[in-house]
Amino acid sequence: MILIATSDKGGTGRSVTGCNIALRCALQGSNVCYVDFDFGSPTAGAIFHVESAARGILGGQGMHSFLAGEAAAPVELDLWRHMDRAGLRPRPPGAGRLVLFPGDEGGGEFPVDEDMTDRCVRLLRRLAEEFDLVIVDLSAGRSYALQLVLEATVRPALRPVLARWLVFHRWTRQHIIAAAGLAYGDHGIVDTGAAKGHDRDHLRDSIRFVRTAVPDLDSEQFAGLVPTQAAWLQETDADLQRLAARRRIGRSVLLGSIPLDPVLQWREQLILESDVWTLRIANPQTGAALDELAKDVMDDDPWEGL
Amino acid sequence: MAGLADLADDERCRILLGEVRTGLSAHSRALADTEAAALLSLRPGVGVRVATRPAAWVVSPDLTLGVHCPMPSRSGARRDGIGTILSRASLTGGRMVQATVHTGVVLGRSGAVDRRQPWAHHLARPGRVEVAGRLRADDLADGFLAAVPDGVPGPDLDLGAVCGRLLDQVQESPLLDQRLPFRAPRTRFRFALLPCDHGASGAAHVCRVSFVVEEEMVRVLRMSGSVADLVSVVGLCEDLALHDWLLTTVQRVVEGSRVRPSGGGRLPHQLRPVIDHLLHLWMPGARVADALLPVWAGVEQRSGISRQWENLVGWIRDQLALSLLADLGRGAG
Ligand SMILES: Nc1ncnc2c1ncn2[C@@H]1O[C@H](COP(=O)(O)OP(=O)(O)O)[C@@H](O)[C@H]1O
Ligand SMILES: [Mg+2]
Repeated sequence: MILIATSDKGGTGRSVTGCNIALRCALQGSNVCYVDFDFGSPTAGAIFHVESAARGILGGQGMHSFLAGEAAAPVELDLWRHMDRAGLRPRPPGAGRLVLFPGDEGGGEFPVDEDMTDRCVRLLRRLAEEFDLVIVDLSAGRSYALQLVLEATVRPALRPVLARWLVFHRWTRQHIIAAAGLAYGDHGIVDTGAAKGHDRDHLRDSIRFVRTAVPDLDSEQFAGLVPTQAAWLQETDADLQRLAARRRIGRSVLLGSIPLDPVLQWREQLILESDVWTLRIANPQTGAALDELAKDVMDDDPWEGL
Repeated sequence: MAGLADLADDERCRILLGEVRTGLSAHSRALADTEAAALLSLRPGVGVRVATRPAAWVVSPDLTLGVHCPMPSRSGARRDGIGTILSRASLTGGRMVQATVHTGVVLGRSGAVDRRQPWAHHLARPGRVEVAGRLRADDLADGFLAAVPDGVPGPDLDLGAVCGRLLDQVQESPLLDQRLPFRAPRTRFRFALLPCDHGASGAAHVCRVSFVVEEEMVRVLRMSGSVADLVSVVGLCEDLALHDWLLTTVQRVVEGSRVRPSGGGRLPHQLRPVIDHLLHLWMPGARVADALLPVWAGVEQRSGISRQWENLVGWIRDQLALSLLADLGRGAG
């Protein structure tokens, strides 16, 4: 299965959440790869604790160079040998493969041509053959990367491969409106996909939403609020729920909600069990939400047609 | 004009370099021979070869690719090679797909005059690359076998990239439905055969063999010997790569099912596709020339691959038997 991670804006938590899903799925035994198609800002290496690929790799063999035809084969990093974090090296027993296809340092957006689409189809089909889960982290917004993947997934070699879309957004008015626009609006995913030959209904049915950095009003973080503040937060949250429903990104298409977490707020990183239970720096709710999301990404039920 | 004696001399200093990549065919079920033949008809007008015993085996015609590029070396000596490499794709048991690329490298001899030959010269010798300038056989083989950490492609003769592309080409064929019963990794198996000093008797023999599992999915086989028929060595390597892939793939699935048992005596769900699609395909040495069987035995001795396989299969059979008993128990209760 190919899971395409998008967001209308940068800084939504798409990469951090995506990398954490990848890790958790691999720990659960799935073979997982993470493909960095965020050409302007390839940060997956940093989140996976691979210093040499923190902002993409040097040497012209990352995703950008490969798609542009400048490298015969892209670099693939076996993360179980490269993650510089205790407890993640070597591969824990029973864990699946976990491989990163890093971007290029200093890459950027570029227009899509026919050859690039061919290379993209070839790569994604091969990865879908080898991995249970292929996560593609796209540049934010209506990017060339989005065009490329919509073009590629409609080609005969990829059409039979299951593709699912995740739109990440923060829990604010502007983010809700923007996420709905990216999915259903003018030149959005459904629109652009349909123009390229995707079945409109089928494509719409394969999009789900993930809310990130959502304040949990019942948590201790908010325990010290005065009653007027608490009431205001409750009301605003209810407003946002209504707005999301009106924009057709309400509960029925919600795949998960990741709470605002102190660790992620300060640092882009993997959240391990040890962060929650030994170091006690990450909230247990964050770990639970990530686990839930990792499960729902692979399950069929939450992706049933509406 | 090269005399016969020259040619024979050439043969003796040939170094075989190659790579095999193995994977699971991108189809929901095993392919029948006729389907496999259609899949592997990679050259119009040239037929595939088919063997039905002991396991169904279909192999494409050879594809020839001209190359002119620096040769790999450990020392960093950059000598140009020019000539052709051969590639082919095959399907075993309708299920396991392989792409193989190889070439025999002829090293320039000291004192020989380096003349650029016309392309016709090289095209008349498919599967052979000639190196201009001095390069030691060891240096070449070490450089070739050490290449490609983590899929970093080198600027040199890159057989791996050609191999990967051929496998992609077969796997993305419209004849395949892309509905694999489970996901399986591709393995890369690199090999080299260096000439050895003794054994000029004419009979094929291989004297030194080292087999290393280098990374999760990379294997390296280095041999010394004298074998006139290089294609038979390629066949041996395909057979080794195939069985190494089977072992690797089933091992991973079994490991996962051990860590996360289904409970209640049920058969771990991961095992079912492996039982249906792979277990019956183990037939080591089936298509290996008699003279090369000792190589199999040598690899066997060092890595015990058949022993590991038997253990795995035994364990899977036990799980199957236990699950049947549990089912019976449930039926009775
Ligand atoms: N659940 C969360 N709680 C707090 N901060 C978060 C959370 N998820 C992400 N962040 C932070 O938000 C910032 C943007 O995240 P990132 O994944 O890089 O966004 P994107 O890939 O969408 O640009 C990072 O600093 C990250 O650590
Ligand atoms: Mg990002």
